[in-house]
Amino acid sequence: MNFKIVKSLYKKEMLDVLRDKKTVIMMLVVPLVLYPLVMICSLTIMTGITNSISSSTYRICLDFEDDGHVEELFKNTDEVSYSFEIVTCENPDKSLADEEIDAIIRKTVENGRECFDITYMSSINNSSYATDMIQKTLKSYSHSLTVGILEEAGLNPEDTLAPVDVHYRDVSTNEETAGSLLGMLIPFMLVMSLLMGTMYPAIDTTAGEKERGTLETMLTLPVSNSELIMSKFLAVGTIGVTSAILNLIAMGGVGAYMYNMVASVREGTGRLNMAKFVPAICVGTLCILAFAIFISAISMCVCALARSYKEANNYLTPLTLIVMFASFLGFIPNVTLSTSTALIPVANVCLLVRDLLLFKYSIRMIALVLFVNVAYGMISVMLLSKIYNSEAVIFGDGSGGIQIFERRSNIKKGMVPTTQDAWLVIIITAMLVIYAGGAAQLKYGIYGLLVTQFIVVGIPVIATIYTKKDVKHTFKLKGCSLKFFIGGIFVIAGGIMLGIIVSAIAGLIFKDSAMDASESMAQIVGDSFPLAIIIIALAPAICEELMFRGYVLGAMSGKYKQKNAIIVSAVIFGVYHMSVSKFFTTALIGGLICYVAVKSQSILPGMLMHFVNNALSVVIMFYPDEAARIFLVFEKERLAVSDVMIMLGFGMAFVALGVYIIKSVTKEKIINNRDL
Amino acid sequence: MLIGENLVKSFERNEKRGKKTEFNAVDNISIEVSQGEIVGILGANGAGKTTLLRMLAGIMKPTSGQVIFRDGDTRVENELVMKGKIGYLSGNTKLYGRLSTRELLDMIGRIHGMDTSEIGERIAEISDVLNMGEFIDNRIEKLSTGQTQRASISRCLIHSPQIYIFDEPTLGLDILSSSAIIEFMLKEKEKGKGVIYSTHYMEEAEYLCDRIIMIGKGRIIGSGTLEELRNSTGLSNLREIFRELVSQEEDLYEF
Repeated sequence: MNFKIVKSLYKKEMLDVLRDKKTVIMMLVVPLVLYPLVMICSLTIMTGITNSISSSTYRICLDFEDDGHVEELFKNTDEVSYSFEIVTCENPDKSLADEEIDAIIRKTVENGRECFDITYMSSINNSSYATDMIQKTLKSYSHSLTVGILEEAGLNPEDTLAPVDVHYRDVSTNEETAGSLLGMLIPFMLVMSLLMGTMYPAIDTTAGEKERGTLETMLTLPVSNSELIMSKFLAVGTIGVTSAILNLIAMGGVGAYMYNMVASVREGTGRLNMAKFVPAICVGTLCILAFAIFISAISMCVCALARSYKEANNYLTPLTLIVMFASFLGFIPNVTLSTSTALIPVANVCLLVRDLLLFKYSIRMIALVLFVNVAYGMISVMLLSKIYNSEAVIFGDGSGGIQIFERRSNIKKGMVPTTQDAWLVIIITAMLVIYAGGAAQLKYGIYGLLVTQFIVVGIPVIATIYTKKDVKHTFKLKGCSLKFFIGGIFVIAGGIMLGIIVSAIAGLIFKDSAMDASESMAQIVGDSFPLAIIIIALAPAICEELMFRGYVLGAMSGKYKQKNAIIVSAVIFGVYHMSVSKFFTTALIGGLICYVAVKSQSILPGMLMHFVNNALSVVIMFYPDEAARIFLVFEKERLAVSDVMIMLGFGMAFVALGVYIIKSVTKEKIINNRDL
Repeated sequence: MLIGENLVKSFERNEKRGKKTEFNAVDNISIEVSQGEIVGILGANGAGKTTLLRMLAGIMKPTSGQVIFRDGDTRVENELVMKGKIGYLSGNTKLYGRLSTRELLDMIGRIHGMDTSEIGERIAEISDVLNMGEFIDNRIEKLSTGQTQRASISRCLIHSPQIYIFDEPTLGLDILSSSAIIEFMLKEKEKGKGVIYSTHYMEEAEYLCDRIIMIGKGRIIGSGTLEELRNSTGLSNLREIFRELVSQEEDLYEF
């Protein structure tokens, strides 16, 4: 990538975007004018409503023979803010329905008790307020009667009526109370306003450029795809970051204004020390910047797939819904920021901002959220420059490219899915696994894992069938020589040993997350061994194999050389497990299974290997002691150098033996073919 | 020297009920243009002129065949380097309306790796040649058709390419503007640049081109200098020659 080119393209994009009135309006006017206006208006309206309510006179009708003391009661309330007007009417019920009066009071006397019967309309505001006030008046009337009775009986009314006295003392500082209130609101508003801010430039630089016909001009220049995408991303990101800062300033201003208003009403009571919020604001700003990068990348990715403005707008609607849904996680009281929730895009920022406002600082979490957002942003941009094919975009070239959004009748039949489709399927599947699968696991525990597996196998199968690709070939649904299974077993046995070494090394570098994962797994699984085998070993062996060794590897093999296809698929498999420390082990195991799958051209040996690998970890989870007796290494906290050497030796030997067996089959085949 | 060897480009055509069939927009055309010559491409609408020129410019990949660029004796392999030696203009290469011509030229110059002073000199020079002084700092969206076309041409000039590929550069322009463009092409030819361009105007091609290639339905139906075309058909007027060749081609298909 030539950064001089990126720089001049970036400059062009910025000029282009900033000279467009719509962007500037979205970026400046919304945060700087609209926010304060909405806030101030709503405040004024609310005060207006409260004032108009509290200064009202309620019209009530006494529909019974009154000796005068009830009328007296309602005429002489001690309240200043409201009063009652006693009205006489011919037909009280009709008058109530016509809203001429607010409530009807009827009274009967049963056994010396006064029974009041209030008729009102809850659907009419004034009527329902009037009823509240009537209730209040009658309550104090009832109280005064009670006090009279008690005093007559020679009792102390206070002690008798309230023998238990409760006082509450709130030790939360004013700042903390304010923070917890703000923590519910601010993250959501920030996330949404940022999304709105980036949407327009994202559409303008991608779909807009297509529609204005300047992309063909760009193609005549010596500019590579990645330079083009990078410059556009930087421009959208700049706008995103700027609108984020403007939004923060606007919110701060409005917040300060509201605070002053509240403070002037309640003098002295609710003083906030603003200085306490400074660290939270600083770190929060940083996170918002990281989030701006993420959301710019995502909205740009979505828009780049569109061919026109209108289409881009259509694509952004579901994105908005997803972002809204994810940011709602910040409202759920029990969801807290942890290593796993920090990996969920959008939600992680909401949770972090909420925590910051509650004065919960954890440098590790802050760093993680920052890193995750920037990393997701970068990954999306990289993926975009992979799947973005300007030629196909401009000239609507039917070959290759993204076929999933095509009308089905326009898709040509083929052997394997295109890599562009595969990347898209991977992204969609990952999103669904994170959100839908995660939700299912929270709700249904171990059975939620099955939902995840259904997603993992369902999306690629549907995509393959929709794009008219050869399902049997893509997913390698055919048998193979028994020797591949034997070879596969040896390879996986060696792979597991090598995996232990790799994960031990990774565990030294990334300490915590390995423990996290195995503990949470143990919690989910419960204590049924057969169930655990089915859900943790069997289901993934079938479903994940079909996805990764079937669909992904199939699509990648269609474009890349064998070796590269294996590496790419293995890395995707590693990333899918969403744990930094597990990445290397799963990528290694994934790579080995890929090798066997490519050689055997069958999905089955891989399924067996995957099953063996996962089943072993279930066995270790359920029978740690027995496992430790057989495999001495599990007992130890850390591996000794000698153990490592032995395992390395055995691991390599097993893999080599497995590979040898597999190669012998392939040779046999070649010889057989020659004979034929 | 720009060479297209056995270029084929197939597209899918939409037919009834959303079904698609494949057809070759460019069907096995070989073509070359060297320094110091103007090659004209004549053809009816939909004959495949634009597709052919797009492939030569490297913005569209041929389904089969290849495009070769020779700089002297060495072959330029890198696609991006090749784009840097070609200036391509068509009706579809729109300009960024919110930028001024100067800003556009500056951006393009930088992408081609030129430095600031070089770009400044070049812009002054081009502005002089194309007479753009009065509107060079206006936003492109505010320019007239003729001014926009001059701005478009200036975009192709900024990096002093060796070969120009123009797709109907005089389409829809008045006599003054189009003759300015024709003069420009002649001047560039004298400077030793190669020009390959497509047009509908026969008189223009007759006046301007060293060699003429006529295409119909994606194939070459006749090529050579004006003299050669006259001799082979026995007709004097290019317009008549073109009609004759197109009807021959159609007859051929009927059998």
